[in-house]
Amino acid sequence: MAPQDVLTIDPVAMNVVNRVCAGSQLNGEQLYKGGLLVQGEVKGALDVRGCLIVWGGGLVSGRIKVWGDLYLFGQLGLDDQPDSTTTLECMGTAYISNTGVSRAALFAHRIRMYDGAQLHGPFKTLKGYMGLPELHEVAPS
Amino acid sequence: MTEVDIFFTHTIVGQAMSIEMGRPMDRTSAQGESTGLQAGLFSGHFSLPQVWKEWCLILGAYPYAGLPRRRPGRFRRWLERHALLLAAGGMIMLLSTTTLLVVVIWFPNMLSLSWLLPGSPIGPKL
Repeated sequence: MAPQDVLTIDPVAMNVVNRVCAGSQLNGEQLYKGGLLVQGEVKGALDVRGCLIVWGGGLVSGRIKVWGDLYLFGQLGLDDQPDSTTTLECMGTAYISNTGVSRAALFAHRIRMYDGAQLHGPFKTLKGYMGLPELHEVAPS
Repeated sequence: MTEVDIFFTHTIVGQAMSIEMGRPMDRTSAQGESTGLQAGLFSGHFSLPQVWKEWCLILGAYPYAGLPRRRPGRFRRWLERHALLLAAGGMIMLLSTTTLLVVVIWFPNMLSLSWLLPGSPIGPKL
């Protein structure tokens, strides 16, 4: 039997400077300069200039763009909506843990799944050039 | 990031923590990656590939925050749990050895076993 993996989340080293606590609900267009830890519910258009960590019990839906890695322990996308309603574009690696549930169209440079992960929506690998910033965007430092 | 930023990050987001990801569904995918140095053609940034990073993680010489690593085995977890106890035991043994050496050097007659020989006051009677 293959050994398990552990992940060390260091907010300082990973520059996770934003947090949505459990019980909070955010809706609308949001820009986060730095990583984001989601323990509550976030809906809308998200632009995360860092890594996105969806904690167990956390929910993220809408149009999401992540410049760093994605760590999914909670849920991505809503239960009562089609999988294509929520789209997530990840420029790094998408890690879907054994408790993660994805009901979204997932686009990522790389994906790594663990036993028990639920991937309901479609997944597509991003090409290298899609990681480059567009003319009106600034690459994250 | 300044010390103030670090303080508020620790206060609001939390301290560093480890969490189990589970068992990888396809470990062989990492073996198919390039094993050489990865260099960005546009940024000029170069780094080690994932395989080498994981190898460095085993050595403990690389900051592994944000990178899943293999869960340590049962023996290593036992060692990590009892690290303080083992360190204290090591210190006690070191102090004991030092004390014994000092006694042997400064009071050589104290550890002499001649008092156990026949003829000594407490030794076996002839």
